[in-house]
Amino acid sequence: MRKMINFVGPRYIFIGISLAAIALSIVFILVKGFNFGVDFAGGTMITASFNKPDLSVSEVRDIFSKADPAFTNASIVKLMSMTSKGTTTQKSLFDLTVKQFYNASARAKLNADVQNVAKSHGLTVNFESFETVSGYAAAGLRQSAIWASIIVVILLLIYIAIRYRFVFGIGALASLAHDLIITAGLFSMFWITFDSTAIAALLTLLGYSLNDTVVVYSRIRENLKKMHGHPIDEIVNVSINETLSRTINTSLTTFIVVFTLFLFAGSVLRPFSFGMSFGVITGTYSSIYIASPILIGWLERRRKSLAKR
Amino acid sequence: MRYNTIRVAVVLIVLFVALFFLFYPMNPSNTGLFANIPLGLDIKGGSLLEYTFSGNVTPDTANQVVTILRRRLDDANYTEANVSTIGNNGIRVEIPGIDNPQQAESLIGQRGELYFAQVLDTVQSTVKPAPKIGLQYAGAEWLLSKDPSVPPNTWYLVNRNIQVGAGTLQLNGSEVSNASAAMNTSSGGWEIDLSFNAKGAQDFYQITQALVGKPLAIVLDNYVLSAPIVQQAIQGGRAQITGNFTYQQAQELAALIRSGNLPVTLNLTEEQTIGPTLGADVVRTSIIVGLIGMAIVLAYMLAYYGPLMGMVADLALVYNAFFVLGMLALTHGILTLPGMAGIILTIGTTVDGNVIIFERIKEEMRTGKTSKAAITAGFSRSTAVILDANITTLIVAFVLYYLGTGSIKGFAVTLTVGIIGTIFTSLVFSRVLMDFLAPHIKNKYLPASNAGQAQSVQPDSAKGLNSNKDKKGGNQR
Repeated sequence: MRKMINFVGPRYIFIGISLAAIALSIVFILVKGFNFGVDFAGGTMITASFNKPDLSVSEVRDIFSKADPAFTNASIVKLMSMTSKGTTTQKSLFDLTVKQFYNASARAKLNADVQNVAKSHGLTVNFESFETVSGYAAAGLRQSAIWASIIVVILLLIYIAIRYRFVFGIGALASLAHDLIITAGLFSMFWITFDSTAIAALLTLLGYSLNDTVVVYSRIRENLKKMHGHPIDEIVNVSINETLSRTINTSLTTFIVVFTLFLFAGSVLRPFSFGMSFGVITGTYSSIYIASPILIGWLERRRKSLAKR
Repeated sequence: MRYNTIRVAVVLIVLFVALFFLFYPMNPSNTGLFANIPLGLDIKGGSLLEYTFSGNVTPDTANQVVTILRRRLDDANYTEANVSTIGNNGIRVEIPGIDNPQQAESLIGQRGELYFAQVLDTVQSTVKPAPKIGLQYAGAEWLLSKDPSVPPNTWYLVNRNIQVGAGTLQLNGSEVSNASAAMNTSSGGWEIDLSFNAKGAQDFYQITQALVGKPLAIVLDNYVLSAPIVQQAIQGGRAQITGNFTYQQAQELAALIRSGNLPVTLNLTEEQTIGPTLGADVVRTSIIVGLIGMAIVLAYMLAYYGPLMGMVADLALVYNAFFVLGMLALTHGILTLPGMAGIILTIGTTVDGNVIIFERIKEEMRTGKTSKAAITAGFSRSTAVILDANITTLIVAFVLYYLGTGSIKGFAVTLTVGIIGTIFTSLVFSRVLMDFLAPHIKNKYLPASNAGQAQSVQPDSAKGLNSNKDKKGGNQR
């Protein structure tokens, strides 16, 4: 027989660790907040390319703030350099974010002014991408993100409640909340842009974490019948062990692909792949150490009350 | 076996359909490996503009605005532009292939409100002149000229109620039946030719008759386009706006007039413009990343499950990849950058499906079943779990589709297609392969001499470890 790892024995330790991680995450979220992307906060993000590969952030700030003082406080990130299509010219790429909204004419003026300043530095600049969101549109996006999250959680719970016992729904909810709060906390901690793709990652992660949890739960349900008379904690532990290689294989392969995406894909997919990478880790952890062990108390009480009857 | 024949047929048909829609050249002008999959703006470059309405918004406003803007953009040669509503109070315009949306923005943002007006006074001034007092100036307003043939900062005091005899007449864009750009034969510049409908022609005749020797202003969106002196009464319902326009200006103005005026004012709330180079660059990296990730996973599965089952898992991955791309081509689902992330994620879900099945088969083998029996039991017992696990993600995908914006919708689409593909690949494609390979898969948990016979032994007791915790199915029955 394969060796059984005792997951449920030290469950209070792991639940304690998780509670501490959740508390830490909440502190980060409340104190430090999120690095909201322009789609949630409003403002403008420009990806600008310069025809000089080794341009520094401060030179770029200098050029932009001469053209428009709003860029004095812009957040500027240097990206991997880019080779333009059909040529071998190396260009340096920068993401610039400001809180202002630029309408058509303001944008045209900014573009012209930046071009002029860059020209005086002997550079040519090109706006590779330009995203500007007014406060109004940002509020709308925030609202639909909140609605999406609420609806997803409700629908997932309804599904679990239909397919499994109510207790399982509670366990699943606890582990979902665990994953969501910790991953959101990581976004705050590492100051990763929190935009709509981050929300997409968080919600997909909910699906994945639930997927992991469901696999273990369906095994627990099966074993509750099969192993009648055995202590609940043993049944739960056996179920976790039986599904362990599946959990690890699945999580590992998913982690490999999303983490490769995080390492190599550009800034657009960074929030998404960050959320997914760390989400897969917390999701796997929670389905092993949180979702199932916290069922034990409930299931034991239920069995006792059934026995009394 | 009969079921298996059906499964083989379905697997082949689905593969054929996917490959057909993926590779058959639907559009001869559009070549390239995956030319049949429409790409989102974030990949091929272009502009996304979002507007909200201000003014008198009715439930029908959004649709009216969409119709008018489609006509405008089509007329101005933005034929690939896509206009859609956002609820009742906004619209979204997507224009692929442009990297400076200013021209398109000026076309969309204008109300296109055209009218003819009587000119009461003309002043050069850098600021708007003070309103004039007097009965004859009631209803008149100062408007700036946009006519390059008059000096800059020329203001006209205009009144849209044109004095004709004892009464007044109004003439506006709704009486214009057609507008087109035309070459001005005398000056060489471009002008806009207008034709009026019957009522417009009648009114225009009366107005020009009353204003012979006086200027008549043509006003578009509160700017005077031109204010020519009326030489004689004009019959036949045709007029020209001469303003020394460039060809493009003349064409866009004609498009603006022809499409009619918008019932509301549009306010830009969001703009996203992505240059084609940046998109191509990100796509290249994403494809490389996807391939690297896939290669690692393929190797991992081979290493973990051995050459036979590993190969089944790997073929399932490749099969599902073609399935997803083929279905995107078939449904014209637009591929966006987050959509590519969705496809890459599908690698994970496909692996998951196979892992669930394989682990179950291994377990069934441990209970002493033959390979064939273990495979059958493995599939039938993991079906519910695979469905449960994927439906949860499907729920998320649906919500993201209905509440997400452009690129997130793209993610929801590929995620949905990917999950459907995963369910099909796991339960049908892998099943076909495993049944086919069953005679070659050895049940290593059976003593060699007994291989091939159904057993009801306790295969784990030999090791004696944790025997009290050994609750495999075989012990229970």
